Amino acid sequence: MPEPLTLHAECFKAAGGMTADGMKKLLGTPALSLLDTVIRETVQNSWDARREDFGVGYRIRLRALRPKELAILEEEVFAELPPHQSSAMGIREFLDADRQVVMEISDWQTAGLGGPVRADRIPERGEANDFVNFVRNMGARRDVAGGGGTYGYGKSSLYQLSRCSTVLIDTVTLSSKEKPINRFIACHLGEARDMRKHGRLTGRHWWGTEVEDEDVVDPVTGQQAARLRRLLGLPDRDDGLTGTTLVVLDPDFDDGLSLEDIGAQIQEALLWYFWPKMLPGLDGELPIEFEVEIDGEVLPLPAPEQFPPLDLFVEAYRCVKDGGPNLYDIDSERPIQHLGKCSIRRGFRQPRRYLVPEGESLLPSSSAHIALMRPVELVVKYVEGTQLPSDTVEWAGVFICNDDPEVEQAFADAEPPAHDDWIPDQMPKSWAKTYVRVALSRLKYLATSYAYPGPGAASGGSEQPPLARAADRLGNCIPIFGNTRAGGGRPGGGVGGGSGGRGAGRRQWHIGEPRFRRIEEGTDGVEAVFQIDVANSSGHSLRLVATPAAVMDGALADAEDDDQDVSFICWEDEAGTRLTTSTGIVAASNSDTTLFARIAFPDDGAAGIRVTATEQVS
Amino acid sequence: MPNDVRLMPRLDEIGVRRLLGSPDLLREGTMAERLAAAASSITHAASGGSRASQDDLQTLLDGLTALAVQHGFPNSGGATDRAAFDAACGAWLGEGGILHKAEAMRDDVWACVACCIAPGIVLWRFENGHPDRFRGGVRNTFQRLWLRARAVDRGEDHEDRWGLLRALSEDASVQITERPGIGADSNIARALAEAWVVSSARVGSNRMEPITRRAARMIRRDNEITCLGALGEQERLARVQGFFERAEKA
Repeated sequence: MPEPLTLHAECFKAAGGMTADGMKKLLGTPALSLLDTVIRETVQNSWDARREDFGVGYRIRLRALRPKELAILEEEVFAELPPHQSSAMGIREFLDADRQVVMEISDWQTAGLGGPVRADRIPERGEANDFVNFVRNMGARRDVAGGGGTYGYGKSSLYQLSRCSTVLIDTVTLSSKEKPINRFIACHLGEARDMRKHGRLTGRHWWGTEVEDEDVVDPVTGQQAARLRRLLGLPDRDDGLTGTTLVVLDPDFDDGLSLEDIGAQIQEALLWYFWPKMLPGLDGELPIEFEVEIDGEVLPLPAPEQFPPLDLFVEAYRCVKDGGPNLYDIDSERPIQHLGKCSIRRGFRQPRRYLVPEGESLLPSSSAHIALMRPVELVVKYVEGTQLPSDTVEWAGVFICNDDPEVEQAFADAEPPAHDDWIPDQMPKSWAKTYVRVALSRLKYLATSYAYPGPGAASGGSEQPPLARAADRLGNCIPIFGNTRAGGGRPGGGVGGGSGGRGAGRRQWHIGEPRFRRIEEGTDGVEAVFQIDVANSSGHSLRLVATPAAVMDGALADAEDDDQDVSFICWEDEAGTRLTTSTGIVAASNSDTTLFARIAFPDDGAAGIRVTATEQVS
Repeated sequence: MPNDVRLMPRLDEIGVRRLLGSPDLLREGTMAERLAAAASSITHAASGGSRASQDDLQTLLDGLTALAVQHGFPNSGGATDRAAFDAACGAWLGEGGILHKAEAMRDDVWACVACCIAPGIVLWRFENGHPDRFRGGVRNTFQRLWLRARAVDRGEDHEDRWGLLRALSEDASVQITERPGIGADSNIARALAEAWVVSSARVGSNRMEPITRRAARMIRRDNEITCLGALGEQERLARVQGFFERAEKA
């Protein structure tokens, strides 16, 4: 058996230092739950460490250690426990428990924790200092332009989440010569204690490789780190798959909740805070491919476009990005500065798919919120406004601040360590403070006045009854994107789209939402053709099923409403050759395909099509 | 000019659940007891009028109770009586009185009316006491009647202003108020109701349910490509009547 890791319990230097307990408090008291804070912090870290703007992998895995993994942890990692009982006891209790639950948070296609491993070494020109900033230092400012986080305090949430305040860190990064470097280290934040034998302990502990005559341990590297990764059952990083896995030991979840319940909370938090990163770009690639795995089972994460009310937020987001109706410029008048754009979309309230009990859900039962973001497009918070006066309709807005460096920096500086708010009051008097204050004030006004515009804007003639005015306001309920929901206009776009597949940070298939192409006069009436793009890089074929339907009340009619006079005719290829008249068709594995669905519909209405896909695993 | 808008109490979902969990309070308690029990879940608009007083709320309760008594409340009344109560109560609510229209557009106001002010009438009208009859929304006992009234109001100057409320069947009323494409536009809703009356006279009200549903589907579909609400009244009515005629033949 190789040598077990060496424990280093840090002592105060003559010039002083910070206690581990103090570090845990640096995060402050975020408004969010600890689990939400951990999720937000780690996704932001992964995004800031991205190697490209698409294809980042992020996975949270909850599981119990297997006996062999526990033995490795006990005999090789924690062979030596902290000298003070207050720290040692928590780890001992975890190791001796009936079941050792851990939460692994992993990313791929990211840079890993690179740079020097000692805080007193100056990085070379162009070299990152990520390992030191994450493992050794606290509060170091990140130098990622337009990054999601600008502090280094949020990581203390990982230790707070662990009942024994202990985290394992396994990372693969690249050297300056592009060679993979494995690093493994265990960290614990305990209480500061004075001990006659050991001196004045700060409470910070690391387990790693002993360095002769030096008062520090370095991370385990090379084959030894890869071996520990494999024996502890951590995600494989062979072939230089760079990135980081953080293992929170004994996460502090409510005792009454099962791992499946926690998994659902994680899914919902990912959707609520990171839906912009789940939207495919022009080339169909997702910025981040999220996965949640509970005891070996991957929980499917719904596409935001099909997870109300996020569908409305997505519409608003696309309006901000591409232009559209109800787009507001948020400006400061003194000094004159464009602060950002806000779009608000309204629509019929779609039924919710709650992943957690409704009362505990982050999702509002009726949306009346504006999502606030910086250009990095991670949701900082939601500003709640006034609901529309009917439970059948709701609205959602998105504000993205201007990417002018001065403005972006102002909003970044207004964020507390947990990055979950913009608080201008904590900023010194400056234009930056004015920018944030003015933007928040305008957005809050927009949020509260949107449902009930002022008398001038809302008043109709005295003969106009209130519901007619409501109808006026409902008039633009119909989504403007033909490819996101049922479309306005005669052939009503489509509903569908989605992606899936598993893998280390790589999405494996994606079905584009049906796009209306043309109307033709068919033998028995009007026919419409929709295009469906299929990108399938998985090893399995996909079965697509098309369901045509009439459009009513701005959406595809459901089965109860559909009077069956919209019918499916056939699938066709790009040349117009009929492939099958069945509503189901198979898309081959490892190929990109464009298919066309032809439907017949009466000439007195609008119609659309919904396409669902399932992976065919033999 | 004094502002005579009464700001009604609004009951949130927690308050609704609390009262639904106390059936004795719903059945036997007084309005004051229920308002006190749900006090932490009750709010009012911060401005825009004066808060409704206990006397105002009592007047509302007395008005609802008087109408219900005319139709058999609390111990009798068959389906016909309850349908007649719906029409009469809808007209009474539609004429305004204490409930200003801005307040009446809020679900939480109606939740308070059903849970705190007149739960006894809810339990008489809907004996199974389904929670949706208490919660705010299109199925709330009183809110649905107000929505119907607003949707098919022929106007103050009409000699039979609430005639459509009396004429429509329960199913037809549901088709109007629970379909956002119809209920949100009183012009379309009224056209459907007028056409329903004509069609019903032609084929008999007992045959109207499938016809109404077919016609409502056609109207909702047509409204995707024809802005029915923007047509002139006669043109709209003719178009909607055409859908009923087609539905009768289908």
